[in-house]
Amino acid sequence: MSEKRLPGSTRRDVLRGAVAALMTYGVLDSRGAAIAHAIVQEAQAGDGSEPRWLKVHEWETVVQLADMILPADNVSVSASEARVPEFIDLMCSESVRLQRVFSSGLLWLAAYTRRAGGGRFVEASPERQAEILDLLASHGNESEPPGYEGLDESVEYAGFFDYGVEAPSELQPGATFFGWIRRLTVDGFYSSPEGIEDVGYLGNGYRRRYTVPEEAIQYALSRSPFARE
Amino acid sequence: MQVVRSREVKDVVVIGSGAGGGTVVQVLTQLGVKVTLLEAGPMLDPQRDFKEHKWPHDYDHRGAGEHAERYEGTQQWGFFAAPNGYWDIPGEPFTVAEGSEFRWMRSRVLGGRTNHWGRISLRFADYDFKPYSFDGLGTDWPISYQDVAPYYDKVESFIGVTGSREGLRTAPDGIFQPCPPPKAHEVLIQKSCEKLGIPCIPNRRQVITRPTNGRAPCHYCGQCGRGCISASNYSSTQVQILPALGTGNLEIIPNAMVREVLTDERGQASGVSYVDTQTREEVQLSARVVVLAASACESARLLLNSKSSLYPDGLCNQSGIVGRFLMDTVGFGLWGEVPALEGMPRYDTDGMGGAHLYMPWWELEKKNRDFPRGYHIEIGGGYGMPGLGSFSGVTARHGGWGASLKEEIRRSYGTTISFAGRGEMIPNLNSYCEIDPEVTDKWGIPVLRFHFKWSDYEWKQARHMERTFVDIIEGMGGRVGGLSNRGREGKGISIPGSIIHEIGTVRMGKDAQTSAVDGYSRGWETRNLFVADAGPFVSNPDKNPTLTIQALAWRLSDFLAEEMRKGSV
Repeated sequence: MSEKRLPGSTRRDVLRGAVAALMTYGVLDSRGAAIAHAIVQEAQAGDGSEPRWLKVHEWETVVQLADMILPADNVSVSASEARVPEFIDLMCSESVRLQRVFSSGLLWLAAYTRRAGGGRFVEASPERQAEILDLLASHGNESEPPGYEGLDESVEYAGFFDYGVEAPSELQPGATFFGWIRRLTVDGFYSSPEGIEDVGYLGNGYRRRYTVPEEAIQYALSRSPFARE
Repeated sequence: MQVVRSREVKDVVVIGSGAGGGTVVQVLTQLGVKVTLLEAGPMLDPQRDFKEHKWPHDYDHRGAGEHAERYEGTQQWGFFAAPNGYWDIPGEPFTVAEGSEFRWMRSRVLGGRTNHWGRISLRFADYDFKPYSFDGLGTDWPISYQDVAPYYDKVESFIGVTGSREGLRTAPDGIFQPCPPPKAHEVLIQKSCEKLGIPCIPNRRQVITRPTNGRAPCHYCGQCGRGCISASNYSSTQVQILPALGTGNLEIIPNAMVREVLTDERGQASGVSYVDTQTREEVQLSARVVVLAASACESARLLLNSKSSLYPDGLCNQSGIVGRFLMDTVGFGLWGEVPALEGMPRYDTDGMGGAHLYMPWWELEKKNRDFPRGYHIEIGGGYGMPGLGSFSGVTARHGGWGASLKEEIRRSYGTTISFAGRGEMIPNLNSYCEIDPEVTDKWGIPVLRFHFKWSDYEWKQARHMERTFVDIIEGMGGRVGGLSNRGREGKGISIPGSIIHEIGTVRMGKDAQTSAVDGYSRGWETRNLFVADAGPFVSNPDKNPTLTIQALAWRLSDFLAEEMRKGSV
């Protein structure tokens, strides 16, 4: 890794760590939400990293959703610790299309949560939050916009085979929004130093010679149909 | 509008700075000929314009673009790609006739599409120059493999190509530098191919693995598509054009969008008229010789737009053939997941930026096939640099969220491989371009209208590719995932033009009745006009065209310099 961006030891980072730890043990509930709220207030307090476009309540929900989509585990940190909400906020600040998606999607989520039992999404029980995400995920999404992206050769294996599944009309806006926030969360996380380290990418280097470890070849061969040749 | 006329008469004006134009510039300037190079786009500065070695997180937008173009749906190539070209250029449209489909990737920058290309470098075979004699389809070239072979040698020696001597008729050997060793997934692919009788050999790419003409060898960062700061792969900009400035024989005029080739009263080319895209002035240059290297379709457009009382249908078009026999490569691809690769100890798979193996055509001698000619196969796989979109596919397939999504991304990373077939299209009468009588671009220049149809030959070939890829994937214990590129090949064959091998619109031949140019790509009527791109190609074999563009451009340049020395041009 060339220039790894190490988190500073600001209060905000400590709070992020607390949220992540709670997520690890599956107990992020209203306490977690309160901490997420505190992160936002910290940001709003003027340490130079206020959200650019998201409102405070939107930021809270984005933090919550991003950390549900990619929680911390024993390999890597959570999405918010990898600064995914900052990435989403920056993208929203530049894209009219994403502004529409996030503003309408977050409002849809608020209304849906209220109707189905009351309260705010970030304050709902973890079980309730998970139920809602499961419902939206199971109804597919329309995450990959039409156009020439299929021709983008800088992206490998862009097999978008399951996109475009029709969700029932009531859930369609929510399912669409979920597809977008999941796409941006995955993009933001795995383009971060933390995400790159998670999957173990070792390239983009300078080498005098290129060699392939025999260990890797033998590993693959021994598990292939050619093992006994 | 002010019309600017230069009194000076240029020796050779070259239009376009890609593989063809770059090679003409290199060879002529070395032979002492003065060259003026016109490029429709801006100059290129590799140090400033290439993003090699950058990480996504070096940018707050991670590669989405300053204005989130990726998510707006307006990013035509990745943010990190070398300046290259566009599927759509604002203000410079083309049209497609009803019932046809065509995409046209055009470049407007010094070096053109060579700044960012696959760098695959394959010689045409002996039979590729004589397709009609071989199987009764298409038309023979007026030249043979023997005419071109010495120039393949020159190009390969000067530019540097990886490969190995294999003695295969479908993949003639050349002058090669060592290719790096196969990666682990490629070893499995090679074994699977062996069982199927498919040769799987070291890849042939214009990447140097040994110091070559002052250029440093590859440092294996795998980022060829972003442009190479050390010029260890071929772009005409770095390998030919910028070095040619040192001869003192080259003048580059960027931002010059050529409108037409001018002719004198004797019917010979007398210069060109271009639009300075910065000042929007029309400028005329006088020249002794004009070389078109603007890409097959742009050169056809230029010839068709160069009308005069002597040439009412445009230049080189006495036979009405300019724009005809447009071809692209047949493309189809599948990917698969290989359980044997799961959990493999991680290592750097970037290598020389593309695959280290490829498969040339293997059924040349087989009888009773349901399609003519053949294709080669390109390989994908490995632990690619994560970036925006890298895990969209696995996310969609997983379908959910949470810890299990993270685990699935980690598990599946590097376990997928892909195959791309690149096959020969037989030229047909339904595929051509012409001037659209009703549309001009923002420079007031009439634009092209495309007509295109794949025939049964191409469709059947694509199905053969599909069966073969399934066999290779399953033979290594893998599962077929699906199409590699649904946007491009969702119908079962690539959208015409989308493989970016459009060729054949200014065909060479034996006489002026059946062709636009002769065997040196020289106009039959305008003897001081040459075409140095893929326009003169008579067929589009299953070998990517760039090496042959370079070889024919070198041959043309040697011939032209000699003719100029003799005073016969």
